[in-house]
Amino acid sequence: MSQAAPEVLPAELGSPPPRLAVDRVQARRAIEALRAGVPNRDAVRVLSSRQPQVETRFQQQLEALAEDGPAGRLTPGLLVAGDFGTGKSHLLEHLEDIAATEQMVCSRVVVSKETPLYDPARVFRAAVESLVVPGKRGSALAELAAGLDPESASYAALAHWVGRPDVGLSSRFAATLFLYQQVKDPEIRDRIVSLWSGDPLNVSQVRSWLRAFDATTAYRLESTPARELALQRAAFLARLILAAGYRGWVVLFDEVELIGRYSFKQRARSYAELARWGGKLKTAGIAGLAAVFAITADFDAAVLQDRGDLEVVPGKLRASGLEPDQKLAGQAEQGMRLIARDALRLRGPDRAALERTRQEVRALHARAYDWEPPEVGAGEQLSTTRMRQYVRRWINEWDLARLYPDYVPSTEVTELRTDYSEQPDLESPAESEADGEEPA
Amino acid sequence: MILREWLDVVRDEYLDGYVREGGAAVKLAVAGTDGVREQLRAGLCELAEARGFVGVTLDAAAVRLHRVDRLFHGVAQQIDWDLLARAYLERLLRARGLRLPPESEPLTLARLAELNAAPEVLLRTELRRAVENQLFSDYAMTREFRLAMIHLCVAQLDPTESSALAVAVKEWLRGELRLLSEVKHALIFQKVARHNARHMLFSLAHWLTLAGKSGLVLVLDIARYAEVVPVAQRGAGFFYSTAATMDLYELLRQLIDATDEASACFVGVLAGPAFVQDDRRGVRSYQALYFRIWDEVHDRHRENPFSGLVRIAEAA
Repeated sequence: MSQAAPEVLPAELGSPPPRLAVDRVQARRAIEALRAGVPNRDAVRVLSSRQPQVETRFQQQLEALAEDGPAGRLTPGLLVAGDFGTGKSHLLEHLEDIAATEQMVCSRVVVSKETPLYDPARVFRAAVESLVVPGKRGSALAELAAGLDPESASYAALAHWVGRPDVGLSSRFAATLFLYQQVKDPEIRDRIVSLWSGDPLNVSQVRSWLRAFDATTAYRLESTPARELALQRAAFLARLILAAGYRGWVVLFDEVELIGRYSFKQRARSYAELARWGGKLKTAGIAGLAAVFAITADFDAAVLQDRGDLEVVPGKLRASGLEPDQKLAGQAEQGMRLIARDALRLRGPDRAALERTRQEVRALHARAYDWEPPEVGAGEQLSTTRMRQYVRRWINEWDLARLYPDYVPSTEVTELRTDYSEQPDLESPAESEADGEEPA
Repeated sequence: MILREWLDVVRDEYLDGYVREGGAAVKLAVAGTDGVREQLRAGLCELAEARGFVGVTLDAAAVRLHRVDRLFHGVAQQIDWDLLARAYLERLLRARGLRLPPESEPLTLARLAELNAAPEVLLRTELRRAVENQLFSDYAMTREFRLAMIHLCVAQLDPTESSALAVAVKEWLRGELRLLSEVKHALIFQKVARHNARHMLFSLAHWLTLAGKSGLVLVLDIARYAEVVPVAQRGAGFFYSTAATMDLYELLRQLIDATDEASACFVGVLAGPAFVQDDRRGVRSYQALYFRIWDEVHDRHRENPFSGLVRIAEAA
């Protein structure tokens, strides 16, 4: 469906765009990212998110996290909802910046085929791979581990916590923490950090390392199911972050609406995982971690209501009579409630905000290409057009004006709609046995 | 859009400007015919060479591009690692005011000591430290990549001591190493895999600039992924399932989102008409990529050559 671009008032004779505190390459990076609708750090630095109600709640969440983490309490997650193109990803980038200034370690997880929300191992892996430690560069988890001070009270608290029976961690965490502080061999330390990141570890190899310190009998190294191990890794990492001197771990989840395309059982599991990471499962959450989720605003209506997940998911699970399904039903309900009742809706831009953003993007384009963009879109009427469409339109018209000075742009907008229909291919593993080849 | 017009924009606005100055971009070009796609491949490669970039082309018929580790290995197999190490060293040594042997001679410590009237044993310590200090704290590259380049450089200076390790390092980069233990002495303990291959690719782009190149131009021909060919009619090379096609689209999505982390890197992804026409295997099947590159906002009469997705309908 195409629609004409919003009506534009006659162009005014405007002043040159304001100067920005970014260099040309940074400005160009920002423009390239905005073309893709994927805001990057430079774009976020220049274009503020303009969602003060969300920022206030987020600050409160960070303050709660700083207290909850050391006390072993769960911190409730935040869920932000907005129509496609209203600035959710931009907001998450901005919140990450805020969290970093508050000495929080951050992760960004984009729900995707490679990172399905129903699979805690893959979610954890994605969180580790995107880990950013304030003020540090290089491998984040290695930096965290290297920053542990065995003489500190926080390290002692970690070492005590990891071995407590009521915490319920596999003894491999206590064993590898012990080894990490004892060994000097960089290869062993590297292997231990890899285990903490999600790699499998050879148990007999760990036993041989422990033998060197007469510590084999101290740690059972029992086998643990993969799914459970992933959750334990997350719990351990949250504590390790505190022990390394940071105030907590913030995980920002983007494109959560993808879960609408999973099959029934995987949607149920995804809702449960949403509740877990969102701090809603009292006996199955992760202390020391606070999550923010971004989801499309119509997910509630399209999937929870119209498709009926709100009733059907727990209903079907409970009807099976199986105990794991009963448990999953309750957890899935918690996740769905987070979406249905606790969503913070993003506010659309008013005329003043739109004009400020237009000037900011104009300034970026000017800096990126070292020219003065014409005043396109000045004072245009608001419609249902989303911020992303405004930004893309301005950039598109400035690009054309710069390349073809005599050409008068004529912009058309096509609505892109989120598809929530089930898509089984999203659930097939990333690397099949045939390595992606079609079977003969 | 006409092919020549798009290539001119790639040259003027990306390779000669933004990417050369440290930016990164991912652009998809849909070619109307196989012939146009071939010309695009050739055109991008010519541009890369002419503008001082290292150009690498990978075809999905020959390389499983949806596997980022295979993609990296495919790139690594086309790189002359020794030449780059030498180029980097020459820049380092010139900056320290040292006289260098001609290109036809090895860049060994012994020869450098002779040319510069310096004790070889002191030169060994000094230069090794210089290489390690410069490279090891260059966080634009991953730790494993830095270590690999350090050892390739050391092998140039001291081939008698380090050549076996350098061979193993190159095999590791190319995905040909049999045993990981062969690179243990380089302090490399992990193979190139899904979790680090993309960072290795970006590290390579940065390394190229340290070696005096303008950066990396990576051309990915993904047309094979959208092809549906009955088994009995298939020719040579790989054919892909729908799931693998989605894995590829996820990889492209990650590359687009990660241009923030990359520098001096231009990725040109070439596709056939099915990419935009086929609902099951085309880009519409993977919304995360679709929403990023589709021109929901466009001009009625003119295509923007800066767009993430362009349609090349005519040959030059």
